Amino acid sequence: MKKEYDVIVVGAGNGGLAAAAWMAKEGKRVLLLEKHNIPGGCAGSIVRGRFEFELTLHELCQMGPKGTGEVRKLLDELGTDVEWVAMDEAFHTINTHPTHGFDVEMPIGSKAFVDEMEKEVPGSRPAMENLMELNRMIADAIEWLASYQNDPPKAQMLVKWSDFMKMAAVPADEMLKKLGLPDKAREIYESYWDYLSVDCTRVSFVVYSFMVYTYLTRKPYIARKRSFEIVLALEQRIRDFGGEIRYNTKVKRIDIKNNQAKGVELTDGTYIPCDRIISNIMPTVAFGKMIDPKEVPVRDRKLCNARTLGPSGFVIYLGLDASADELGIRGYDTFVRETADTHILFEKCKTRASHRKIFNYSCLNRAISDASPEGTCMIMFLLLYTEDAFADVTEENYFRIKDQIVEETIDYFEEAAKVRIRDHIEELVTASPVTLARYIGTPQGNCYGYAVPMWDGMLPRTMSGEKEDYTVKGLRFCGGHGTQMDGYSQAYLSGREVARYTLKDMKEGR
Amino acid sequence: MKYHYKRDAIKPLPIKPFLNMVKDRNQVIERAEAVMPRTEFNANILAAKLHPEIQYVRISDIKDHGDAKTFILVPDEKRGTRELAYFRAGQYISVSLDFEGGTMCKPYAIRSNPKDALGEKNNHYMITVKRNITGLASDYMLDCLKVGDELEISGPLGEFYYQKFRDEKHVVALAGGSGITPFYSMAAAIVSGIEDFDLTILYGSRTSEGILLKDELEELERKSDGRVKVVHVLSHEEKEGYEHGFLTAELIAKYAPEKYSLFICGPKPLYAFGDEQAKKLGLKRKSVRKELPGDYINPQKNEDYPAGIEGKTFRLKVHIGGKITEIQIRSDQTILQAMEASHIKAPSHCRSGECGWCHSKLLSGNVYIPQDVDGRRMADLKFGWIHPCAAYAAGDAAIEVYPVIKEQD
Repeated sequence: MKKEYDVIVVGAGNGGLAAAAWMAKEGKRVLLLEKHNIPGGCAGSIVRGRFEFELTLHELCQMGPKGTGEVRKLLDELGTDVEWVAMDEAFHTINTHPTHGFDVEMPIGSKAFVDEMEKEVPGSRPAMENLMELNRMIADAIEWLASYQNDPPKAQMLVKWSDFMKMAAVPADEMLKKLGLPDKAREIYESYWDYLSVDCTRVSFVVYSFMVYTYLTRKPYIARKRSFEIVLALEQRIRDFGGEIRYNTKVKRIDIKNNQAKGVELTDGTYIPCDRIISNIMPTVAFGKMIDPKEVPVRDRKLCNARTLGPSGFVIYLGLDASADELGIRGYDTFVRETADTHILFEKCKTRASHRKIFNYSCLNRAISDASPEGTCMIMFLLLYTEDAFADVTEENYFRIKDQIVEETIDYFEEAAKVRIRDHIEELVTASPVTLARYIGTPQGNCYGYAVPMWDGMLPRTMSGEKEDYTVKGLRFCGGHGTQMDGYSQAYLSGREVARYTLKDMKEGR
Repeated sequence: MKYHYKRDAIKPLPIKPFLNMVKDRNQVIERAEAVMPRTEFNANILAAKLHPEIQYVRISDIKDHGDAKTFILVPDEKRGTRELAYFRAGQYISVSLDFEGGTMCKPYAIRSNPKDALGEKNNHYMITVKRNITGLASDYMLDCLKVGDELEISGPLGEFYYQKFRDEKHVVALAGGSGITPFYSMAAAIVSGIEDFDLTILYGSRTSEGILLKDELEELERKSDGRVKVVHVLSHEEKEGYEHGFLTAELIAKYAPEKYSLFICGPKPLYAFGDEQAKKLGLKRKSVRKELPGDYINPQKNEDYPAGIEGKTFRLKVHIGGKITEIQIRSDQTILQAMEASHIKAPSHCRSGECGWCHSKLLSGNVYIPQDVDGRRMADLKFGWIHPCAAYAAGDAAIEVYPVIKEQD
């Protein structure tokens, strides 16, 4: 059969969009297939009444003004037309522990952050200043690594970045203790943990600190017209570069023969030959459901089984008929929890039962004041489930269980943030792991790809991405389940990384 | 070095763990089982059950109500639907129809009790279709569909249901004609203990003879332990035991408790009328919920309607599934209606600009989208995406639409 396409990208999530756009920009004939009627995967927005809710984006990392952060450079290089909004606050964190609680709003800028910390935790300054200097080195090291596209000259690396390498293998919590941060300062500093889907006792210090530092120095970013603006901007660029996109088009089978990608088969039986496939679908699903079991390499079966699925989420979107000022809602992005111990919190996220005392909420109007009509505001709550917390849910009790989670969340929110929103709910939408399973088709409805314990963290994954994990000729994976870990920024980087590998594969015939 | 951090905590750390990262990772992978990975979890199974894209059903029975009929829909196992999806009382399904008048999907509220969709045995939906003067589809359904016919319907859709954190404990419903159907389902759900709120239905009909589902509603009212109350309001007849006139603010005030939410479902004029009454009563926006209005009519009456297009016919190029079809579109037809009349199978569900299922790319030309049914996202506007079900051509235009690729085994 004549091959019409150089590459087929399966799935138009953040990773798939970035990969397809990059391949198309490089002049390849790209076909992007998406089973839903719209692109975006986890990204997007929904309109309800007079509100347009952001679906999932809290804030992009590695952005900054033109020509600075890696993600900003990537999106600019693709020519995506997005109106960016930079935030001047890092995060608001509320710990309701009866004796060790705190309620602080941390600014961006490493100096301002250290100053604020000194106010909250007198005496923390020397350790915090030292930490920020270390972070500066870590950020430089990671950018240096990225500049070699994950294949740096080894000798140079040992000479230049040995401190980075040493700390890379130490969990964040442990390293912060070694660095002499006062407990409370460490606890505040660790607030971002749930962005990474693993607690601070099991995530690499350099990975965690890189994220914090990048937010502080490059600022957190969002798109003015919600994340759907980024989605459609990328979509438009794929078209501009000559790529083809088909929606409502579900791939039933990824055809692999003799360890080589051959094409894809759609649910209506249509077969599209192509020997380069980029899957935005998780390896677990692609190998578990879409590829002939005889053709699934042993290593991939083992890799899928060695890994734990990342968390799924329960998201509550509220449109309120009073402004954030009237209600007294502070901060754009707030972490609320009953203790600062990230490991205890992670454990609590396993089930529904113990869940109510930890979540994150963001009030979009605090970033974009006119995000909703005057006299209204929007809040999005995110609750994580690190295990199969919806295993016992049935059709019959599903709606009731959702209501119960909403009830507990609003109760704890009102208590912790000392606000009253109950009488102001004009619109309410929920998205459960079931909703996520429906839209993104992941096992358990997980939205963080795979958990990132130390052995499978960003660095070991990245170092394995080009060769070790490339097991079927012509088949590569990108997305929040990729080498760069979960999150929007990471998915875009993953898409570009995999596009680059694929271009190299094509060139070298590997 | 150009960095000024203290090295004492770092110096003693070994570098080997970093150098061994790939090797160690490979060892962990090597130790894992080589069985096929698990992909199906309860959340996935539940997602498939609650949100099927297509449900294949058969008409098992038809009840005649004069100018309306109730169709009982049961799962069609032969075509792969073993049970029907559970739903929230008030939700709708969209029914695919293919007849001389066009190829289309029409939304109908599920009139039955959600309970009847549960379980593996005897589960069914009921939809009640009333003859509509302008509706080709309702004529077709009432005159042509018979027991045993096969239909394709969507999963349950829509946001018109009771939400306890938003709505008051007491709901006053304004129902007109077949607009009673979602409230019927809500009343049944209350009687079954599935929903927990009180419901007063102010039900407008022309005459007492023509009240749709009158006996069935009375039965629900009887069984409801006082939680469901139906007040019949006749516009064309004065009769004892019935209210006379329209569903006015005065009438609402007469039957409503101090705090309540107002739900509205009925023919198009009822929504604007209901809004006026809500305003008179000083109800907040959050206390007024309206069912989807369905196909838009009379766009030319809007103030922002483009000048000079009324009564004209334009050319519309439809890019669909790799083909380009050119069709004619009248200025009073929505883009969806024009495609349907040409038997182009474009996706749609709500026909009200809300659900987004018909999301399509406008490739060229101008369209007119009435503000009150413009459910687009901000980014849709920026990048030229439209909902054909709520958009009119304002000149020659081209769009790209995405047919749903069906399962085939």
